[in-house]
Amino acid sequence: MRHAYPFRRQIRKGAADSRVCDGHPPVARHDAALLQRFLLARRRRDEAAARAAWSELVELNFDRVATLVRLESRGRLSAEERDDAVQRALVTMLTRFMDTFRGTSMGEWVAATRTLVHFACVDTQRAAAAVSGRTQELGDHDEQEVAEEHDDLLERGGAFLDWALPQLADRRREVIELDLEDLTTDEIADRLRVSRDVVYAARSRALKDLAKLRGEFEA
Amino acid sequence: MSTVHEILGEFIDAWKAGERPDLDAYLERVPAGDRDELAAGIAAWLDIAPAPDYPLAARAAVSAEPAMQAALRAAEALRPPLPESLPVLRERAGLGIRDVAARLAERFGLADRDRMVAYLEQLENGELDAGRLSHRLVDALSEMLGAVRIALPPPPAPAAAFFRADEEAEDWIVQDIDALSRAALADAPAPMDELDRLFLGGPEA
Repeated sequence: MRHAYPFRRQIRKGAADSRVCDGHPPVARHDAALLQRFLLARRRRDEAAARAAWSELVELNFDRVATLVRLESRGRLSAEERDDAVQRALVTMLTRFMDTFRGTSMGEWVAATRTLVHFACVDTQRAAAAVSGRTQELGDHDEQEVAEEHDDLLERGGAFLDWALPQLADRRREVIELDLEDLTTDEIADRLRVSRDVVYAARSRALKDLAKLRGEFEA
Repeated sequence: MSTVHEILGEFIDAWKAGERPDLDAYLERVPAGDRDELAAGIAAWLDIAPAPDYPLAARAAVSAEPAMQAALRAAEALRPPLPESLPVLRERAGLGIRDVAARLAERFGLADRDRMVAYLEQLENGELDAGRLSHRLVDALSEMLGAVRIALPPPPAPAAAFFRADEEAEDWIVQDIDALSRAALADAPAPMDELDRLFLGGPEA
């Protein structure tokens, strides 16, 4: 059975006998705590509490959404259109996404957010194209496609790190695990007794590996 | 120029510290030919990164972002009224009106499913004042349809005080008071049963 990660806890558990994580208490994540608060309020049918926790969670992830929009739309949306896409994504997150989210972990939440940002950029470009006659470049979709992709990602999004991390080379995995513990580059270098450059390179390669693995995972 | 590895590392450190790193500023720090590689690294990081633990000032700045504020206002305005959201939620759950009626009837121990269907149809057609639904019914619908508690309209504002109409009263006041007088003299309506109370009895019924 696949697990939905709050990855930090699982990494801690999995790394209990690993030298890189020994002796450090688990980190209580603010975002994971908010998600749990939302889920609890939803179970209790407490709309006000659920909405408050959800809004705070979205707000806490504003920078992720804004940066993902910039990455998604590099060179294809104007600054104004990017703002529009950010707002479009946020509104969807604050409305439909709140009603339809069926996951239980931040991993699932982030995976669904990524999809949502993608389609917000597509919709923004579509709207801009309708005004200017510009050719679309970000792809096309319909509501059904969005729903299917969203459902699919929710099924698999949470399990990605569980599946991918063990496939990384040891040093790369160690660096990513410590990154997820919020250690700085210098702290990671100290912990692993290597230079900053080694950490930089291992992290960079690990993220490249993870991007490839994600493609494989979602194929 | 720094290497892609270094700049990526600096972006990640800044992210973790809640410093709100600006993507474009980091991309500009590497040669044009390396920007796609850096962007891919940052995208991969954002796929797995926890939200930063922001310092208070940064957290306040996020809250004050115009796009965030505008989105919150827009989301509030977009919350659909119940007659619009109910059919959508029902269809998403793969349920017909009769299915919903059957489940509600079972839950509340009611036998008259046809009347239940009629009430639900009136509700979806906007013919029933959603403000008169009981919380028990709304909770049951929300649970059945897998939604956060379905939004109800705000309670109506208290009615303005009515005073006796004298000879100089506006026509509409005279007419309203006449209507109230006729209503007061009419027979009392039949008492509500449990089904009526669910749909017409108000939030506390």
